[in-house]
Amino acid sequence: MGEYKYIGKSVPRVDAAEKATGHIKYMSDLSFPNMLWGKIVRSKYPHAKILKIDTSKAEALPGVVAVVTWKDVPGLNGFGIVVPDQPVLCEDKVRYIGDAVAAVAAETKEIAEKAANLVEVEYEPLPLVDDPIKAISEDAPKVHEGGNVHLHTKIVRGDVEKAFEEADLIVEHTYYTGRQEHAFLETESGVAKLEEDGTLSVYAGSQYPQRDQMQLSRCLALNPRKIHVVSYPVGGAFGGKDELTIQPILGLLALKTKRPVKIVLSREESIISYWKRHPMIMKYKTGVKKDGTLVANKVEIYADTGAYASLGGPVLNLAVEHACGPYKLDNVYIDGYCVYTNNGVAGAFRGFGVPQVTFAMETQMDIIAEKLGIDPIELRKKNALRRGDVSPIGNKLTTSVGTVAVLEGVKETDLWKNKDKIEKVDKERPWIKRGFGFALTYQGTGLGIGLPDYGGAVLRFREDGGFIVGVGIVDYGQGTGTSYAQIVAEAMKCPVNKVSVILGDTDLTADSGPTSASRGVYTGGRAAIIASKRMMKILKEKAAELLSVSPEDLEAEGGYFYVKNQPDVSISYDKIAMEFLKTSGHLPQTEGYFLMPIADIKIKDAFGLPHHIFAYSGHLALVEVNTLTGQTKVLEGAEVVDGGIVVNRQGFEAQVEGGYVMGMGYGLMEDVKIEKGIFKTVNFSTYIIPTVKDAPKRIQTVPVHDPEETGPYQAKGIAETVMVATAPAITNAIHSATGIRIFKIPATSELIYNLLKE
Amino acid sequence: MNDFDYAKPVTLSEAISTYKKYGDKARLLLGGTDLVVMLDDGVIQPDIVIDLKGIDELKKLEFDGEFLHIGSRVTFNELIDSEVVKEKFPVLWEASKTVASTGVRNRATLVGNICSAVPSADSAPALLVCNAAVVIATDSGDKEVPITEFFVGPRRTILKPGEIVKEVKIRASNKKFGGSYIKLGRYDGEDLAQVGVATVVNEDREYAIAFCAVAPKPVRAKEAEEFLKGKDLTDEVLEEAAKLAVKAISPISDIRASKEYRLYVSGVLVKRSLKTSLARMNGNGPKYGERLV
Ligand SMILES: Cc1cc2nc3c(=O)[nH]c(=O)nc-3n(C[C@H](O)[C@H](O)[C@H](O)COP(=O)(O)OP(=O)(O)OC[C@H]3O[C@@H](n4cnc5c(N)ncnc54)[C@H](O)[C@@H]3O)c2cc1C
Repeated sequence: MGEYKYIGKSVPRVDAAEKATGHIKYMSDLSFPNMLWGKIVRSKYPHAKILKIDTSKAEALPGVVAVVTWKDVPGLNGFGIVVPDQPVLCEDKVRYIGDAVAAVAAETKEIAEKAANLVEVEYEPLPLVDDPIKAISEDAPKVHEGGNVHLHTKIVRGDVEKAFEEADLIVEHTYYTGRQEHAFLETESGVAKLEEDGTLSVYAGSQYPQRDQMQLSRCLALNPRKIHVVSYPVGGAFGGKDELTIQPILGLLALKTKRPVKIVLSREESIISYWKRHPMIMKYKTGVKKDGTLVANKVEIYADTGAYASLGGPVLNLAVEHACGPYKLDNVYIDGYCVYTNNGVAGAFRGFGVPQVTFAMETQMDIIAEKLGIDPIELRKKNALRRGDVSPIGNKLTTSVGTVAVLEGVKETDLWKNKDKIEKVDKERPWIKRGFGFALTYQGTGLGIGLPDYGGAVLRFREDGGFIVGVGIVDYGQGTGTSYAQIVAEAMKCPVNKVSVILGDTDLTADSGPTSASRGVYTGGRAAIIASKRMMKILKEKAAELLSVSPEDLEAEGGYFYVKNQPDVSISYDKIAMEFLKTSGHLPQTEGYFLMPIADIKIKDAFGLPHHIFAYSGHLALVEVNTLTGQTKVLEGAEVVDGGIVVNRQGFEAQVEGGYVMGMGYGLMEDVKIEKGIFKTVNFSTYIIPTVKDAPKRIQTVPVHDPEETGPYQAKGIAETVMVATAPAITNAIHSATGIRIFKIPATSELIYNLLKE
Repeated sequence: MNDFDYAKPVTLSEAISTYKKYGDKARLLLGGTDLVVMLDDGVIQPDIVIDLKGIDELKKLEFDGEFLHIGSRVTFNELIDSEVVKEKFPVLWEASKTVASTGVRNRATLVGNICSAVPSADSAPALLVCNAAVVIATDSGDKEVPITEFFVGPRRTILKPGEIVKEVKIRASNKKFGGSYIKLGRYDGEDLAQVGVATVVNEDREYAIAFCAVAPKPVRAKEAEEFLKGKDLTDEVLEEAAKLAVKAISPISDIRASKEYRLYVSGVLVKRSLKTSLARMNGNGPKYGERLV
C-alpha cells in the first residue's frame, strides 16, 4: 500500500474536534423561534380495535396548538421501506404497544405531555399474537388481514435427504436469539419546519435522506422537491434509523400548525416504539463426512418481525442467504419465515439477519470440529468458499473471497498462538474456568440483486483550492465522512484537510442509496473517485493552459501541478481556482455515479439475493466462566477482517472494537423482554449493554485482504461483519471452558447456571 | 414531571418545620440519584422538594474514638476516600465501592440509600452486620433507631413526615474481626444487585450475616448466625449455615433474576463471604475491595 499517500493511514476523524468540544449540533439540539413541542399518543394495547378517538379535551387545554389523528394524514397513511403497511397514525386498529394513534403540538413540552394524556381512545382488545411459530398456523388470530406470514423464502439445492444418508455425522439443534436494541446515544429526535416558500424542512437523524423524502412525500402528499430532509449529524443509528421513525408525524404537525415542531423521544418511548433486531428460532440439521467435508444443511428459520414489515423481509432473506456460512455446500434446504406478531417492531440492525444464523451455524461447526476431532480452523478451511466457487445458494463468487486470508490471519493472532497456554482452571479460584473460542463469518456488501443499488457523489472546487464532496450517505459514527475526505484527497492529490465533506442532505448531496449493508465506503467512495477523475481532468487542462504546456506533461501532488522533470515550474490549486473565477465567474463542479456490480444469477423467489461482494471476518474470544454464579467475562478478543483495503487505520480499529463489544452484548446480555406484548426492559436500568468495565481488556484488530478490484482503492466494507461472529466465538469459548453448549443467546449468568446444573 | 416548589434551608430546624408544614406533600433531597428519577418518571408528585444540601451540620463524617458518624450529606465517594472508614469499617467501605459508578457516587449518599429503602440497597447489609443506628431529627428532638428496625418494606421505612435522618452511627469493633460484602449484578456496569450479602466474624467466633435484594427489605439471617456461634467453618458447617441463611430470605422473580437463581446464588455467596471474612480476620484473605467470586 506504499503507493498511497492517505489511504490506509490513521487519519483523525474530520468531525473529531466538533464532537469532542460539544460544538456539533445534533437534531435534538436544534431550536427555532416560535417552536412548538410535539408528543405522540401511543397505543395502550398490543393488539386492539380502535372504537373511538376523542381529542376534544386535549384540544381544549390552553397551550395546545394542534392535535392530529389519521384524519389529518393528507396522503397515504402508511410507511415502510418495502411495504408501506405501518400507519402514520392508526385509524381502526393497533398492532403493537408503540403504535401511534394521535399526536399533539403545544407551546411547551409539559403541555404537550399533558395533552397527550387527555386524548381519549376507546379500544376493544383483540387476541394477542406473540409466538412466531404459532402465528403461522391458519387458525391463529391475524395481525394483518393478509395473514401473519409476511414473507416465506425457500431455497433448495441438491438433495439434502440423500446427502444425509451419506453423511457420517449429523448434528441437529434448535437455536434461539434475543431481541437486541440499537441503544444509540441520541433517541429519535428532530424538528420539522415549514419554510416561507412552502418547503417543508425535516431535520431528523436518519440513514437515507432521499428515501425519507420519498416516503414523506407519499404520506404528506407533497411534491418531493418541496421537502428538504437533513439527516446528518446523527447520534448513532446502527440500522435503527434506516426506516422512518418520527418524521411523518413531525411533518404533519408542522404542516398543520405552520410553526416549527420538535420531538425528542424519551429512552422509554424510543425502546418501545421502534426497531429491534429480529429474534429468530432456527432449526439446523447439518451432515458431514468423517474427514470434515460438509455434505448437507437443512435449516428452518422463524423471524419475529413484530407488527409491521419495514425491512423484515430483506432481513429474513439475508439470514437465508448466509445460513450456511461461507462454506461450500451443494445440498441445502433453507426454509425461512418472516412472521408478524404483536411483539413491538423489528427491522434493520447491523448484521441484518446474519448474526442470528451465524450464531447457529458457527455453533454447528464447533460441535462438528469437536465430534470429529478436527482443528476448528482446519475444518473451516476444508470447507471454505474460495473465489470461483459456487455459494450454497447457487451463485458463482467472482469477487474477492477472503476466507483463507482470514483463517491464515487467525493463526497469527496472539490469542490463537497462546491458546494452549491458557490456565484452564484458576489456581486461586478453582471455580473459575477458562476457554477459547472461534467463529468465522461473512457479510454481503450492498443491497443485492434486483434493488436499485448505486453510489453518487458531487464534488465542488473551492476558492482556496480545496474541495467539497457531497454524499447522501450519513456518518452516524462509522467514520465514513473521514474516509471520503481521504479518498478525495488521494484522488485529487491534495491534503486531507483541504477536503470538506457534506453528508445526508437532499439539497446538497448526491443520492448514494441507504447508509446500510456495509455499503457506505464502497458506494460513496467509488462515486467520489469518479467525480474526482473528472475534476482532475478539468483542473489539469486549466493548469496546462496557464503553464503553456500540454496536460500530459503535468503531474499533481500536494495541491500543486508540476511539469514533469521540471519541479520548479508549478501552479497551486488555489491559483487555478482564482483563474477560474477571473475568467468564468464560477468554479467547476463534477459528479460521479455508478451502479453496484451484481451477481451472475438471481435466486428465484428470494428478492435481493444473492449478493455479489462480501466481507469476511474471524472472531476469537478468551473467556472466563464462573461456575458458581454462571457469570462470563470476556478477557480478551481478536478479529481478523477482510473488508478490502482499509481506508482509515484508526477508523478500522474503532469499528472492529465497537463491533466486537456490540457482538459481546448480543451474546451475553442484551434482550428486550416483551411479555404478552408489553415491554419489560424499557431503559438502561433494566436493559443492559456492555460498559467499558465489561469490555475485554484487549481486542486485537488485524486487517487482511483479498483485493476487490471494483472497490474504491480496493476497499469493500467492514461495518457489519465486525460484530456478526462475536457471539458464537464467545459461546464456543464458554463450551471450551465448561463443556456446556449454548443454544440460546444471550447467555446470561442465569442461563449458564441452569445449564451447569443439568 | 409536575411543577413543584423548591426550598433550600440552611438549618435542620428550618427544614423540619417546612417538612411539617407540607407533610406528605414534601420530599427531601440529597444527591437526588433516586429522587430525581422518581420525579422524572412521575411516580411522585410533591408540592415541594426540600434540598438538605444547604445544611452544614449534615456534612459531618467523623470518628470520635467509639462511633463513626456519617452525616446525611456524606456521599459514597467520600466514604470510599476516608481512611478511617477503610481501616475500621472495611465492610461498609467494600460495599460503598459496589454502588453504581463514580459519577453517581459523587452525588449519591449513604443516607439517601437507606431512606429510599429499596430491597437492593447496597449499603444496607453492611450496616446491618455492623449494628448501625439511624439518628433521626424531629421537632421534639433527636431519636435513635437500630438499623434493623429502620426498614419496613419495599421503599418503606419507619420515618414519618417531619422526620429527617441526620446521621448514621456505627460503633467500631474492639475485637479482631474480618468481614466482606459480595454483590452479584448482571454485568460489571452499574446494576442493582441480584443478590448482595455481607458477613462479619470476630475472634470469639461470633458471626453476622445480612442480605439485600432477596427479601422485601434488607434482612439479617439470625438463625444461621445462632447456629454458627462458636463454630469453626468446616465444609459441613458452611453447608448447614448456608441452608439456614437462605431460610431468612424470600426472593422474587424480576427482570434481573428469577427467584430460583436468587435462592441458589444466595447460598453460594454466603459461603464465599463467610470464608472470605474468616480468612481476612486471620490475615490471609483477599484485600478489601477485591473481586471475591
Ligand atoms: C445509575 C444509577 C445507579 C445506581 N446504582 C445503585 C447501586 O448499585 N446500588 C444501590 O444501592 N443504589 C444504586 N442507585 C440508587 C441510588 O444512587 C442510591 O440509593 C443513593 O444512595 C441515593 O442517595 P441520594 O443522595 O441520591 O438520595 P436522594 O435521591 O436525594 O434521596 C433518596 C430518598 O431518600 C429521601 N431522603 C433524602 N434525604 C433524607 C433524609 N435526610 N431523611 C429522610 N429521607 C431522606 C428522599 O426523599 C428520597 O426518597 C443507583 C442510582 C442510579 C441513578
